[in-house]
Amino acid sequence: MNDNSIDLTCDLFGMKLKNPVLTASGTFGVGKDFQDFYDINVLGGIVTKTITMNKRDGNKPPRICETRSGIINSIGIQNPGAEKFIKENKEWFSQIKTKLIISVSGNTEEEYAEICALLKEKLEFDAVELNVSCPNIKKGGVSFGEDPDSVERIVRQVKKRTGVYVITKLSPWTHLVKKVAQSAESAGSNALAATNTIPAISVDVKTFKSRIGNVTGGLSGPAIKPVSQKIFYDIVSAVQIPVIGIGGIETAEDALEYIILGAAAVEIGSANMYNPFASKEILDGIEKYLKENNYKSLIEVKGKFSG
Amino acid sequence: MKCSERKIIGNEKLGKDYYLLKYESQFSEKSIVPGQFISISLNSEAMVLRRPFSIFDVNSNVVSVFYKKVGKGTCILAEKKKGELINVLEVLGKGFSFYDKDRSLAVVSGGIGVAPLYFLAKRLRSMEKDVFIYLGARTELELFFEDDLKKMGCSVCVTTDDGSKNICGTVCCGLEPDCEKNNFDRIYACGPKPMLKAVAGVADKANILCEVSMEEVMGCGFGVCLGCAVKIKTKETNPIYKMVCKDGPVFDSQEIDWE
Ligand SMILES: Cc1cc2nc3c(=O)[nH]c(=O)nc-3n(C[C@H](O)[C@H](O)[C@H](O)COP(=O)(O)OP(=O)(O)OC[C@H]3O[C@@H](n4cnc5c(N)ncnc54)[C@H](O)[C@@H]3O)c2cc1C
Ligand SMILES: Cc1cc2nc3c(=O)[nH]c(=O)nc-3n(C[C@H](O)[C@H](O)[C@H](O)COP(=O)(O)O)c2cc1C
Ligand code: FES
Repeated sequence: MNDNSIDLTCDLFGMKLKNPVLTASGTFGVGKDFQDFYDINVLGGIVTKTITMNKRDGNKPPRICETRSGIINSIGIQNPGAEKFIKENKEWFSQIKTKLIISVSGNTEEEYAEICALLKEKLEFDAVELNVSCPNIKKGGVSFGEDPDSVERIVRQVKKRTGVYVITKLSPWTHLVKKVAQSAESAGSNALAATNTIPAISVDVKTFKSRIGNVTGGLSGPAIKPVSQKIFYDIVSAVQIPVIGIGGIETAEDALEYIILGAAAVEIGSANMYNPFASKEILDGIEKYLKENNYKSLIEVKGKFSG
Repeated sequence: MKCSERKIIGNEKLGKDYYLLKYESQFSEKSIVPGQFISISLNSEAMVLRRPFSIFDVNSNVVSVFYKKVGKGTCILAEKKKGELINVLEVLGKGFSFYDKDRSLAVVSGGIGVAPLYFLAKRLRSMEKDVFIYLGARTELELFFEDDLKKMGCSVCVTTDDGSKNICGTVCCGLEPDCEKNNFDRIYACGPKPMLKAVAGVADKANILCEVSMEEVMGCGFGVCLGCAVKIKTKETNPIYKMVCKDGPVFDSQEIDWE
């Protein structure tokens, strides 16, 4: 390393990233389409669209609607099912030269471990991200992420059965979020990610209907940043494991705010959709900020929030 | 697929709320298929998503977009001046298809739906096909490009909802009686969904192949967010969705579940 180069590496206790910029699940596909814009291998890693064991058709349209500074989506985890996902993308994944994180969800607690076991058997990857913000069918649709015991069981099973590096992605929609975070930690989750989208609705005064086919959806984008950051802040102070910051990151400054609050890394979501260069620009911007302020490494600013 | 700041060459008002934008594209006429679209970012605090628009015409590397002012984004776009830069994601989607053996073609437009069809008609005429245009609008004031399409050598049938010009009624009133007479090999259509459904019905009845250009609210515009789903006809109980931005916007009309 020469003298004026900046150390952007992040140690996520068991996984080392070359820099803190990851892409958020569902906004980057499997990364392939972004190769038209830049070499995605410059990023710290990519998180793929959530998969489930069986194929999911997705929700009825409209699936997207724009609100002030935000986007409501209700995609319904449309995906081809784990087997087909692996088959369709194996070749592409073998070419990726950055961290590959597979996002996983289930209809039941057991399904998470089953998918992770299948992935471990058939694919080379670096980590799984458990998307627990989806309804537990056995419990009448309350999301796993709202129930600390449920999250604990999911993480424990995945760790026990596969031993893979686990990131648990938390839902912001519970007053128990610190408890959920601690349950994931005690069950062996290697890291956490916060947050997923915030439940939302948008009413059309012409039709008296929701602008979303599924009536409600999840809000993302700049509108959610202050809320996601507050929840992130609560979580970071409640656990010892690394926490990845997500929610409303559009610029390097947004990402740095999370890092100063203690984020081990960040995930960029919606911004990739409306600016295909967003993740790369944020990465370049973080480096520029550190250089301009005479920092030699990211660690010098990480968690230095002074209240 | 490219995304960059492009220079505006013109942004002319053609009628109340209707504009023709021209910009210097990174793509040339030959590399663009009629029916494909672009997506513009308006870099405004008021909105985050890009706005998709069909390619209306291409002359060497100048792309034209015909648009209607309907909301925030199109109002901001209408204020843009010649010489300014706009951020364009181009060229997106799968356009209309062309067949050597086709001779006689119907091109059916409803309102702003003329946007991708002008370039389509131009391409079809350059292949020396017989092109019959059915140009529908709410009123005469919202009717555009009749003369230009005639100059291209297309036969043009105009319908208006209020009867302010020519046939009073929907485009199907013009199209349906002609289907047999003109022996169409194929119908191409773009317009509001109820109109497309009606055109698809006419095509089915007359046993003519039909391609339609669909619209859905878009997130990314290039297939990664799975936001722009359109329901596909299936015999299975589970629904099938395709993406307007990547699988379309042009679909075989028989593929679409019109319910
Ligand atoms: C593939 C594709 C090609 C298109 N090509 C053209 C074109 O060539 N010319 C053109 O004028 N328009 C075209 N549209 C529609 C255009 O994208 C919308 O009119 C535009 O996004 C509206 O943006 P806005 O910010 O002005 O309106 P907003 O403020 O977002 O919305 C205002 C109102 O406009 C209507 N609206 C918003 N989005 C759409 C939409 N996607 N389709 C229909 N109505 C909408 C809604 O009723 C809404 O209440 C196309 C859309 C698609 C998906
Ligand atoms: C269109 C869309 C699809 C998404 N799909 C998923 C998904 O499949 N799994 C998941 O864990 N999160 C999903 N998310 C949530 C994002 O990963 C992210 O947590 C959220 O959007 C907040 O970040 P942002 O404000 O940067 O977008 C999706 C978000 C959007 C906008
Ligand atoms: S708009 Fe994102 S998939 Fe079509």
